[in-house]
Amino acid sequence: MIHFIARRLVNLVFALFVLATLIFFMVRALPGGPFDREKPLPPEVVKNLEAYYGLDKSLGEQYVAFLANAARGDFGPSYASRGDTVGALILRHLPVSAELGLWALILAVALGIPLGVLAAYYHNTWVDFLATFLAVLGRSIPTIALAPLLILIFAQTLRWLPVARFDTPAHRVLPTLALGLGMAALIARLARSSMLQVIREDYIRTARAKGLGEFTVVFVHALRNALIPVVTLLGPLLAVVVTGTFIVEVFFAVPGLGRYYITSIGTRDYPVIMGTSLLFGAVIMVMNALVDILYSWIDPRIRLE
Amino acid sequence: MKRVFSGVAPALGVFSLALVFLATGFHITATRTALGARTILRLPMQGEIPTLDPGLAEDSSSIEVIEQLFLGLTDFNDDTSEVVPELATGWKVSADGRVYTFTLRRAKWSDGRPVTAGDIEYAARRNIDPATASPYAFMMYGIRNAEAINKGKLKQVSLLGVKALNRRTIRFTLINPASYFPAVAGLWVLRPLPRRAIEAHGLKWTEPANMVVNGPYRLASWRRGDKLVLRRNPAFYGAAGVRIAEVHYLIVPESSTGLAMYENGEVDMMGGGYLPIPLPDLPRVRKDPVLGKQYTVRPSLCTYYYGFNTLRPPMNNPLVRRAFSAAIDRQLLIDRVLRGGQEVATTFTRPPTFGSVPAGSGVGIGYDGAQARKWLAQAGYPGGKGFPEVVLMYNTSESHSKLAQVVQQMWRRELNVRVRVENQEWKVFLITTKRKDGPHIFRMGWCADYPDANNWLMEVFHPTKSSNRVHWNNAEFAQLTEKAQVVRDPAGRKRLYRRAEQILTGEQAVIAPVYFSTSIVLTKPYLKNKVAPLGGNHIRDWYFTD
Amino acid sequence: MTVTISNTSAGESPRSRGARRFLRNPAAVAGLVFLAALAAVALFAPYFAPQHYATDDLFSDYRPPALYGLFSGGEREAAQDGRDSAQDTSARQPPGASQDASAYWLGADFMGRDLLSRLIYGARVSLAVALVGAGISFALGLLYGITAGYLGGRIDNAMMRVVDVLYAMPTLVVVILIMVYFRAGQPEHFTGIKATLYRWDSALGGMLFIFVGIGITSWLQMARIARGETLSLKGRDFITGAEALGIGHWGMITRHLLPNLLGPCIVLETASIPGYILTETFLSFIGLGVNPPMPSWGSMINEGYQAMRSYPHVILWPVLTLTATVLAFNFAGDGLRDALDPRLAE
Repeated sequence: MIHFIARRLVNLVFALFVLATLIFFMVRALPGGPFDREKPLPPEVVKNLEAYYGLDKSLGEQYVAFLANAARGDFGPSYASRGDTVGALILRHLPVSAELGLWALILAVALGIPLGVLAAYYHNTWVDFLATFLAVLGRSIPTIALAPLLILIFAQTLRWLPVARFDTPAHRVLPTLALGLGMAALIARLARSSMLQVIREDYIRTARAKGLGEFTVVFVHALRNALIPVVTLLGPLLAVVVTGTFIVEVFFAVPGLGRYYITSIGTRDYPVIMGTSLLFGAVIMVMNALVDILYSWIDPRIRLE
Repeated sequence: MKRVFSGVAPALGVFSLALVFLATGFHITATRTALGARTILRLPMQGEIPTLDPGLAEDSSSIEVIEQLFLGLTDFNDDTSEVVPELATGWKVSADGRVYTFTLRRAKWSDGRPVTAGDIEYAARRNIDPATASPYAFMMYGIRNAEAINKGKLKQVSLLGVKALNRRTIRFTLINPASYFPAVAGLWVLRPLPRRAIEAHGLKWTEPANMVVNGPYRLASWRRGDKLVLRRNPAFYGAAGVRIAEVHYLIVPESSTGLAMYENGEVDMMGGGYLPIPLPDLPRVRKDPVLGKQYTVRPSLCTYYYGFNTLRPPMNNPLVRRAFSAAIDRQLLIDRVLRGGQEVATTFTRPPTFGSVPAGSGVGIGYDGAQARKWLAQAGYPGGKGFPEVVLMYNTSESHSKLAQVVQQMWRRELNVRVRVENQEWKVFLITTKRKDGPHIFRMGWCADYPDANNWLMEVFHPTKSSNRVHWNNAEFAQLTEKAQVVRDPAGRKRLYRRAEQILTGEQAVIAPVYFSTSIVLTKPYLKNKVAPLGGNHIRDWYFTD
Repeated sequence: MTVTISNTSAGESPRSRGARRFLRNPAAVAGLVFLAALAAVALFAPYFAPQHYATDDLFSDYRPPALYGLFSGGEREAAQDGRDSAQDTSARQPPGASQDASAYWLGADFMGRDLLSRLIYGARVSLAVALVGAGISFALGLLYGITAGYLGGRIDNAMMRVVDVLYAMPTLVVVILIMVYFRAGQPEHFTGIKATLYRWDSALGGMLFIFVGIGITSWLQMARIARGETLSLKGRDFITGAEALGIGHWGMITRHLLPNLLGPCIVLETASIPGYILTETFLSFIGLGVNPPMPSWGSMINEGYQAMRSYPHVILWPVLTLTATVLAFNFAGDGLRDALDPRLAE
């Protein structure tokens, strides 16, 4: 186990290094810099700003300096908002994204797994079709349409919930739905197909033969094994939603990290682009490692290599 | 341990269902307690608020908040956009028009210290210092030595033509008798700054705990990217007249969400410098029996235009440019696409700015399909024959895209020419349109910083002293705009600007002005407000009626 | 020696048995038929679309669907149409375009363009995105995964490390970076490969870089699955048998591994396709979609969502079609999965 974690850690550092290098040079290849304005700043002022942020050095020197600082966890100041730093920005917005992501994931699991199990159990009957239909509906409506639709129905017509922002528990319901429904659909589909496989295995027949109740057979014996592929999916899914999702955050005015991935490219806020991208990469890889550990825990036949 | 797994799903189902009910309950209590005496004004803001430092501000969001926090020497009247005294009690101009002396009224900082002329001198020197890298420092270039200091050619900041003569008197020495200077003196780069707070806290001086202000409101809390709260500043000399106790700026990026929030009573206002009302929903808003009554349109000092790259054939021919300008049916665009009561523009400077040409005075080119075809034929392309494909470029945005597609079709229909529409991300667009071989046609907009044609014609289209994206080099235009900085007689200045407009939008037609903007505002019936045409609303004058 | 896994007791070949099973699944067949019809309509768009996608008529802006008229008294709706801002220009003669109300079966958009026509042309983008995403995923991912899994050892380790790194890339950030980079500047000044790429992109109405963006990440999942399956197949008897017979690497991969891998990989792919189609929608939302006036379902949804309350039809049709298409992919994919799974009892 310790060996496994150590190896994954080495991999993580290596991958983050490659990622940092790739994104660093890709971002710098973009035309336009952080200090380009509609009304251009005097070149002398730009020079001052560049000196202040260390952008006057050669690209190679900047790259080395960036790596050295990043290794110490310092991603520097944000250019777009003077007085703000990348570290502060992540500390401020990541918890919001993480919370929303967790709620959505809980909803997705709570909705997706029963739906998938039902569909598999009543394979090729109307229950299956209905469940699949609902699942696909959840997945195929683009968030750009779903978010305003949820607002229209639950906030404006029924007046059950507030429209947007992230203040009270009630404010969390609509963004959770917007983010979670699509994931629920994905989980339901996966749960259905792996359940279909498991339900015909011998040990399930044995369990039935032993006279165990149908509910116990399906939800205790079959589901445990059917969950393995679902767990594989949960890792990356969690990484994505925890680090922020642009559209949901924009539509529900949620102050998460997701919008900064995109707005920071628009403002050429290099430190923010680097910081958020590397955070994303790190979370994805940690999640994948956790999934592998979880794997061996659910199914002892799988060994950590 | 494994049993946990199988029980998880149903348990979570029940849990999340319970959560929804719980949440709904919370919401109801929250709404009820919010009712009662109204003290909080909730305003939606589309983007981030990048800074609260008047020396570093350059965007309308920052400037809106700074207007509530800091007072300048002068201000603008909400109705006429004329300059009125604010911190200043009055000013005197020297005989040659190059020296302005302002006297200050008694005012206090929020930490109890008096606001002095020295605070303005400090602010001017700090903001012009290239080390501060103030993006709007160029606004001070009319002051003696300002440009040289800002560009690093002159090291002694003390040589700047801004001098505190005593605690209440400040003197500005200018390079030209710029008669619009009182307007510039009130801009954010020349507002007094709290020297102690800035020197003690550096970039962190705008944090709620450190910030010292002299305006009607002070900063109570600021969660960047989410919510900024202002509270009445008791140290403000007019505090007794400030009726709204708290202002909450809420960051809401999506305007359709904002409109829903407005309709549900989660914000008190939309438009007018805050989150704009979504374009496609305007007809519904206007027809709605409730919203229709809360809807007002006010002028906003901005112009939307298409610029031509005068170096690139075939746009290097003024006849071609005139033909393109005349082929745009501006009224149709406003009625069928924009729908916000905008005004047809044939000139650049937005009326009623000083030096603008009143609408309908015949300056510039309006929609005239027959004339457009005639001009194109004279240029050697009768019926559009032989006209090469040209590119119309806009910066990526849904509304620019819609407009560009409609205009593309108008040009095709009126002139039988092929125009390709392309879009680029803003930063790339800025670079592409600066190039001499940039796109044939590009979209741009301009909003006034202060209400004088100098801010428009000189600062946007002067061949050498502006960004000059049209790449022209018209000597007469240059002379006219330079002379207007020296001439002191208002009527004479107006004549100069009128001629400059004729060249810019008529004879040379280096741009095709499309429309003058309006501020479309939705206001709840319990709020009495007035939107400032230049941005930076005067919330201190607003009030609730319940 | 048999190539495919043959554990069926019946004499029927697994392939025809799969086809039979697929055909007995009505949802799967319906999905496939829908997709085929959609592909035909998209391919022959000029014959099916009543108008060109760019033909506008500012006097028919937001015209409600003529279809509504069939259900409710006809003329009343048509007379109301989009002309609510009765201002001075309304009196003017409309400039050209056809005024035949019946032309707008699904209504018109903000500049009076026929939504049905735009929907039909827009299908090209969504289907092309699905096809290209799946194509790259198969061509690159499958080959990559099999090679890694088959060769094993150090090579496998190194190859999968590459996948790990790419997997950790924030996909959207990378897609945006690539698209902003390639769309910067002007084609006239491009030289060499950038010029060629740009010409292709213009010819495709701006789709090329959407393909590139989707392609760079679509193959990763496939590579992982293919590698995993290859590893598990390597232990099987028929592969070791083939090895003993001295079959070369290439023959091994094409004749023995590939046919056995195809089933699970096809299933995986049908599950990924909706993701590609939705990515296009997202790119449209942030302004990196196809070049206007070329339509795509994503750009149509993007044009319509703000007017959801004023003119619901603008967003209704693209969302409905998109949902139906994703549904079709799912049903067909599930049917395929069931049909190809040898362990499923009849």
